[in-house]
Amino acid sequence: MNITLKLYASLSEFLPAGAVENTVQIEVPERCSLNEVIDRYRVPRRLAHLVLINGHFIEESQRDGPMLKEGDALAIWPPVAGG
Amino acid sequence: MQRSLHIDPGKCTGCLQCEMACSFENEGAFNPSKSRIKVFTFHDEGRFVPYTCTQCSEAWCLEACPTDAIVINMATGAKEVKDDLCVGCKVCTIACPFGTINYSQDTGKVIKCDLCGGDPACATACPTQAITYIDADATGLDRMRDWAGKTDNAASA
Amino acid sequence: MAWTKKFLRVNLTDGTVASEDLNMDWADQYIGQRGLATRYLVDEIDPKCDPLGPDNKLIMTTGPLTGTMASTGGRYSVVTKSPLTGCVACSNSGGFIGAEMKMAGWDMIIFEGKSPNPVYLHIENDNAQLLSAEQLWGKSAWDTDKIIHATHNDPQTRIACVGRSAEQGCMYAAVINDLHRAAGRSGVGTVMASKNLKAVAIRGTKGVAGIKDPARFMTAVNEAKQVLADNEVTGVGLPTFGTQVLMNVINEVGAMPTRNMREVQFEGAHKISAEAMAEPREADGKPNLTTNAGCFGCTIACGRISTIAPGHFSIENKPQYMANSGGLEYEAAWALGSDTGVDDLDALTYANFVCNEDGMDPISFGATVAAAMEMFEAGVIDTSNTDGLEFKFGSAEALCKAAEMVATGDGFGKDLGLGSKRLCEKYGRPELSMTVKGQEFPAYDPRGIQGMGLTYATSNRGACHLRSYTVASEILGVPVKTDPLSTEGKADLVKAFQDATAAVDSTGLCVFTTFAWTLENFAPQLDAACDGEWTPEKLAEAGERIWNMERDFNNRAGMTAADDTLPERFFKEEANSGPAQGKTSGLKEMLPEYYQVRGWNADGSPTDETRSRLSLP
Repeated sequence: MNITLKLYASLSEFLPAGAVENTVQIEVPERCSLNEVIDRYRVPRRLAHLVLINGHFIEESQRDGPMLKEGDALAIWPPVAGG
Repeated sequence: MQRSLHIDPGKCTGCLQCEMACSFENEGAFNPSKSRIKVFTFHDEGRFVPYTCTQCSEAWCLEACPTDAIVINMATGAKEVKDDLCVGCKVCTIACPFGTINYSQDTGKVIKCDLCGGDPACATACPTQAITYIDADATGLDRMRDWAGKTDNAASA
Repeated sequence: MAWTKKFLRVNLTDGTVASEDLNMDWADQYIGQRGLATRYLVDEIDPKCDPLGPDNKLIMTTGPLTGTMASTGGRYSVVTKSPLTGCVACSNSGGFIGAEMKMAGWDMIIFEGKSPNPVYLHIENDNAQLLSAEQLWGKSAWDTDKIIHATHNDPQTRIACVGRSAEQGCMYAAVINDLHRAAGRSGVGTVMASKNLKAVAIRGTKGVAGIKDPARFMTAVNEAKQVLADNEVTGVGLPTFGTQVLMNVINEVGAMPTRNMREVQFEGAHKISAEAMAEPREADGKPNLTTNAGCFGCTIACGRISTIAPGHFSIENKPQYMANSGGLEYEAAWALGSDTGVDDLDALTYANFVCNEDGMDPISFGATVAAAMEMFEAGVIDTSNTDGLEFKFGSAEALCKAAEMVATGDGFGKDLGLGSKRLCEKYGRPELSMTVKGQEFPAYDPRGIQGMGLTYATSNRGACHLRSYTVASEILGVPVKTDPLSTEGKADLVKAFQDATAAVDSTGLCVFTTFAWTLENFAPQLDAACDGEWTPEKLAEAGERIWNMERDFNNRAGMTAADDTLPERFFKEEANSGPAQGKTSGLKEMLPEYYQVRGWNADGSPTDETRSRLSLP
């Protein structure tokens, strides 16, 4: 299935070729887990801190289960903060 | 091995921890106005550059001093000011082309970097490795390595 | 000691300057900086006084750890009664002047009265005198800085000053220090100018000594520095990307207030984000961001130094803006960009430069422009009001011109200088002002981040994100993650953040350390440096005391529970996209519980039991 992958801040370096505005369309297997996507693009798991599907935060404990649906937007940040 | 203070301005953020460390080490107070190392802000260029004595082998300050108050520390290679001999004539401050030896009005003597006897406080305090204390014969090593890394086009193609 | 235990009292009416001893009982209860200065303010002014009159006082204040090697030990604050809100104002800034004040031997400066003529205060260690500012009045903050340096022939003097906007009565004028740092919010600069005080110039060569236990202090400092270095946020994220890293985060979670806070996501967010600031640009192949920068003693270095793209319309024939200067923070980029609908990174950077040059709070400025844009769209104002400008959402030209006009107080700039609340009231549309207690909202939508709604409504200085930055927990998962869309548990969360932050704001250190530190990291540093015994519990209690003292002042100034609210927009208009779609603010559920956990009556005042427990003044 087709999903949108967005990697930001220091995770930008793990984006595949063709990404525009930190965003790229990717093909993933039907019941793939978040960790599978994270691992596939070599994002270190400890740096995948803010993991959002369509803007909703996903707990770390749920990253091994099938969470993605066709057309979802998966956005990932390392630990970040500001004011 | 003799070591030198190595400055990498690209890493400096202008935080002045080095100035505090220097003054704390030498005078027991956090007092950048008494620091032997100074950080310069080139505001328009967006650059910060720490600068201090580079411990010349043939030091103008040492040669100029009329009371032989500046001596060489054989272990560190640093040129050190002997306060009991210094008369505060300031001739060394005129002789040094780099401005890194200066008068201290509070003591009436001149002050300069003495590498803290071999464990420079500024290098320890610097949070970004803009100041490091490395082999005096190899201060160009990092830059050489960077350029060496660009030589194999096949590997980076 | 850490404190110098001395402060300057400057009577601007009489033109006198005197040294006084610091009240060390108060220092023990209120720490320093925010807490201590507010204690003095509360003692010395009538809460009902005119903020722009001679009876208001302006206090510039450092914390006990300002000017030490503790990481981020460079903060100072400006405390006064705000003309924008009528509440206590406490504006925190970094840069270098706070440390210089300590180096000169002073913890604090209290300005009272009003000078008959423009003056500036010049301090060199023990010598402090008021000098004529005739040649400075009518100059920008940048020019003032240049002239004072030249006049005293001393490049190492540090300067804090106001620009032309404050002189013109802009209600959100800031005090600019070291060219591009600011005590930004609540119109503290406006108060300074109302006293005919243009600048403070300080040179300190005494240094900061008197640390109670220097060896133990340095051990604690170095341990705490290591925690900052090892933490991904303070050690990597903030220095590399600055606070601007949040632009894409807050947009993705659907809490990005857009176009005067009508919508919650901005289609142009990426173009004005940290990632965009790092992109090589077409004009010259360089990125907007040149480097990061640190304030005095800071080992995080989140500051941004930027340039505007050559050839950009905003700097045509203006060489004075073509060099590097202070770049965009998230709050500024949000207010100047998302809130106005402008997605031109260079236009935002230009407006930000102008805000630094003439001392305006970019948050309040951008939010006021946004309110004006909504009124323009609704036909409430037109080009006859705006000096011919098409004041439409998304207009980079309008934004840039507006900044210039507010800087000098010319034409429509006078109206914009009123701030969002008074501007909207003037044109009969008060409901279009996105403010709480008269201060404009910052960059988080209360519908998308429920705890922030409570934060804004109860902040002691009007709408403010820093008073209790629950975004850290609700969105960023620092220290632990809570659900942004839920109202449950937010009363306790907001109180905890408010109290801890009040304590941190009183130490001389920067609140950004709290992304890695807890009060457990602050306490050993304070305990080793300062008289008395400083534990995390004592700090938390001091924070609660400071919060309640500020609240009490506001109540006596005339604030009531009815002022702990949000604009109707957040109760009536649902978020129209993203994860918070369909939601409004659940403030009404959170507020009663908040009063309870605070130990306050239903009218929002501290109960007698709370007053005596905290030994409130």
